[in-house]
Amino acid sequence: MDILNRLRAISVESLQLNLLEDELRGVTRLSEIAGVDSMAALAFVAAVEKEFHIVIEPERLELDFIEDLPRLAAYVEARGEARYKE
Amino acid sequence: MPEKTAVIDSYAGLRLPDAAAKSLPWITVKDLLWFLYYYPFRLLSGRLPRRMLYWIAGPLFQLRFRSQRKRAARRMMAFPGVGITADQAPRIARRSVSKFAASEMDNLLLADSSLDGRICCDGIGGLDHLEQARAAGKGVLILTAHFYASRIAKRYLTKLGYPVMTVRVQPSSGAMTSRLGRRFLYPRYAEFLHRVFRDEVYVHQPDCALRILKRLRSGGLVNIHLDGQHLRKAVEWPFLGAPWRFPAGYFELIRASGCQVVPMLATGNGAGVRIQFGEALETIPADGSDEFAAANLPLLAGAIERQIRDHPEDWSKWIS
Repeated sequence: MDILNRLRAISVESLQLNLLEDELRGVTRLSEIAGVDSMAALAFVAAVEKEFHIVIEPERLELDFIEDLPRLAAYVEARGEARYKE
Repeated sequence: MPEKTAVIDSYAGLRLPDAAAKSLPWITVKDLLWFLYYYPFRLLSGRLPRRMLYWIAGPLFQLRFRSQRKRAARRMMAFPGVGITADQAPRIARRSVSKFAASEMDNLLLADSSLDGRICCDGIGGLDHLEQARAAGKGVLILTAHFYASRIAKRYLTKLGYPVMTVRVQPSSGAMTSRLGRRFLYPRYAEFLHRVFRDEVYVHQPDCALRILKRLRSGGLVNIHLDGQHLRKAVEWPFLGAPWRFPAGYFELIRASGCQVVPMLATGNGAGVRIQFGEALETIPADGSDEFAAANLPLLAGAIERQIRDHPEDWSKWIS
């Protein structure tokens, strides 16, 4: 699974959404699938960091960036920390 | 100024609907008092000595908040863990209203940055605890209860080179009881409070937790009032001998950031604030967020319970 899809899967799990894999196809922003409040954003960040073994830098902790899944995926990849779990 | 516009816009969501506002009188005594506070008192605050302002405001507040004072005395009896007897309660409630008056006068001082130099400190202890916690590099959550002197203490700390972000709840326009109050005074009230706090984040904002995390990860200081209101998820725990709902989100933040938690006690007022930092609390690790909150709530709640027991008249929750 590529990073973007893994982020989609993490969003479903961390935000406790009842969505199927099919329904996530093409989703690029978290707000497309859930109302992202303050604690949901934090839960998602914590889950992403745990999954990819990274710590998101303070300057990247902006809601607009965190919600933007392709940008976040590019960031995770650039950090070179992503480890695939097959 | 963009900053001012942003604050007023962010309050728009908390304005009551027009339909509700139309049933209100044009002006009430309460809103007239707000007006006096914002204008004549504000002008005086820069010119009169602090203690004289407190002396003027004290009796006015005792009169204006007499019903709240009686309610406060009753409320003290509902929290047996504080150890206040029925005989002591009215006296403590009276002192609490006096401190409330002083803190409102101090807000006038805080709202005007040119008056920062007039804040006096009678003593600051345990700064080494704060320094040690900061040296750990993961930010520091400054743990307080709602004490009257907290705002003035934070401004003094900022002056010393320890800027502190405050996490707070926005008041709604319901604080104003007339049409004129809601239309004219409320935006000024919002702007005024922003100038009092300056470095703040509102709990209802969708990026609130991220902004706190960002500050902590940058090694900064964030103040939370553990006895404050929550919006989404709460953890119930006995507090001062009565049930209390604590915001669960703070525990998520502590877990996610790995920050240090340092209790701060602030007493006194703008004419002489006293600040005491305690040792950083040793939080207990746990796997899940609920488990982490359950494991650490007694530790954090216990720290502020001690402060309230030792200084009951300084806790603003009796009155507000």
